[in-house]
Amino acid sequence: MLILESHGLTKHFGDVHALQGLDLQLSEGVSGLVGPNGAGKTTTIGILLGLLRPDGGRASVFGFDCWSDSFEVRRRVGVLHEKPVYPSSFTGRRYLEYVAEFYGVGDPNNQADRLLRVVGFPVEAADRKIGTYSAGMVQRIGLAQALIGEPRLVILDEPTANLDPVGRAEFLEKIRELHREQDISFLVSTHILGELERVCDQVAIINNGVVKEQGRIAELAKKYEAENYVIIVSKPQLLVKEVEESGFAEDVTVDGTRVLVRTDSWQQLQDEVIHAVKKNKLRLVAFGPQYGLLESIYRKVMEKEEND
Amino acid sequence: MTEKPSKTPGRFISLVRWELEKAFSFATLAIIIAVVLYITVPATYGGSSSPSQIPSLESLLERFASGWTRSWSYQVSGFFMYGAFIFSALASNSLSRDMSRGYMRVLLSYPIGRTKFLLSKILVLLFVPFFVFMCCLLFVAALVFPGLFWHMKASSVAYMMLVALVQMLFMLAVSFSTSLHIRQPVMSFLASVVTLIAMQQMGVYLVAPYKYLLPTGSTMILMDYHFSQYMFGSYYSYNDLAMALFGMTVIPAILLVLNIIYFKSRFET
Repeated sequence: MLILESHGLTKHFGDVHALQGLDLQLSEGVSGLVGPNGAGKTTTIGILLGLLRPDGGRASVFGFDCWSDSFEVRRRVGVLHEKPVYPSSFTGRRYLEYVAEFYGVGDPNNQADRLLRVVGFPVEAADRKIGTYSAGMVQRIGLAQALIGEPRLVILDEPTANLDPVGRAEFLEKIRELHREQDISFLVSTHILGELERVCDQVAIINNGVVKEQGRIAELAKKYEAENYVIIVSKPQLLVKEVEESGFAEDVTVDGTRVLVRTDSWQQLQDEVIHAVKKNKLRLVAFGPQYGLLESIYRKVMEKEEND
Repeated sequence: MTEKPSKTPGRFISLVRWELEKAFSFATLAIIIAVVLYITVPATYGGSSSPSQIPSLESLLERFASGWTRSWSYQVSGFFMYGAFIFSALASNSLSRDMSRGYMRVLLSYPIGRTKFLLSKILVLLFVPFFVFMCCLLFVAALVFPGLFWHMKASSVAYMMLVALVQMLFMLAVSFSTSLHIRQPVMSFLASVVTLIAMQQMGVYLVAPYKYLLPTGSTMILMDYHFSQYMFGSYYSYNDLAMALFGMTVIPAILLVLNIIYFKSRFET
């Protein structure tokens, strides 16, 4: 079921055209909104939440117009903004209690306690002022406040930007867990594609304020097959010679100990590498796509746009 | 896919509490106490700048005879200059700082009606003049009831405080409007101070009755209207008084309503 859609969305700030006819359709699940800096991701989120008024086009969430019915949209949507700032003089618990009151939650104290546990926030720190929290703790408070009011959709704008690698992994796992256990849909805006790939079912790639590609990742993977591969092997020059002689690769280069191959025939490359390893008694250390699945799709979409 | 829109009870009280908790600190309290002292002490000591320089009854009578209404007008006009800085700081802290730091973006992402949001801010800012006013009354009561030194009629002191309250509301409306449109806190503070002082100074140069729409003229009318009765009767007409009251109450009210309409229909963050 579609939960979010926009048609011909335009928005400009002075001379900057942030959105130039954005057509976006996302259904339930964990979705990714990816694109380079300045692509229009945060502007899109601002419009979806009724914080920005579109110059043209229409956007709706759960069927409610994002500007004229934005109150109804916000009742059903939680959000963690990019680099969120919460009043530093409030304690984490007090802040969550206030947000629970804004959502009309019956027992704000219990709700705050429950969500602190859900997001794995250290309970002993809940009564400290937010100004004393680490970036990771602020991000967890941010996720907790986004979950108040039992939202059906949670929008996360660059949620892992301030986190260390372990914190990122835990945060993304929490998203997956919340979707699995509480059936909450997520829209994650980021440009860290490797992380997104682990949690997303579907993705929309935007650039220059236009959706360049969208759909389920599995379907996009079929459409945009990976074609850059990396092989780490002892005596890489021998492997390069074998691959070049076979003639199916578009490009073969050596980068230190890595052999980079560009080809649209994954099966033939596999056969050729195995053959070369056996024949020359090479030691194969690693072999696979150079980029992650989502990154490959993203690169191809961007290359296609440049070529067009 | 469209669901039936539903209404949620307002969270206005929560918003007001949020604003109070966020905005008020010991610094704010210190400012309020300073304003209270500024208004009340000169009033109760007969217009002298310090309790240690209390004028004698003879000199007060002399001042009375030589037009001391001007002295009181000066006191209240002085408060306007002082208040221009205080209210610009409070409004800038409440609106521009919220916008520039991102608090407003976060808060408006919750299911909060925009009108309620802005009204909660106005109410909390109105709380300052109201609190100052109440403190002044308590101060006066504390002086009257123990039978302390007292030169002025209680009604005249109360009248002066009422004029100060009206002035505060005027300053609040102007500084609130400026801060809503300028997102950089320091710039909004400066713009608000300059606007208020410019309005006050313009009142000096405009001709009647237009000058009565601005703070200097309207304060002069309101003060003279009351105090000149002790000398030779009021020399201002009811029209003058109406113009002054319009300038100090209706204009700021219209300004606030226009800003609420703008915030609800056009404001983006």
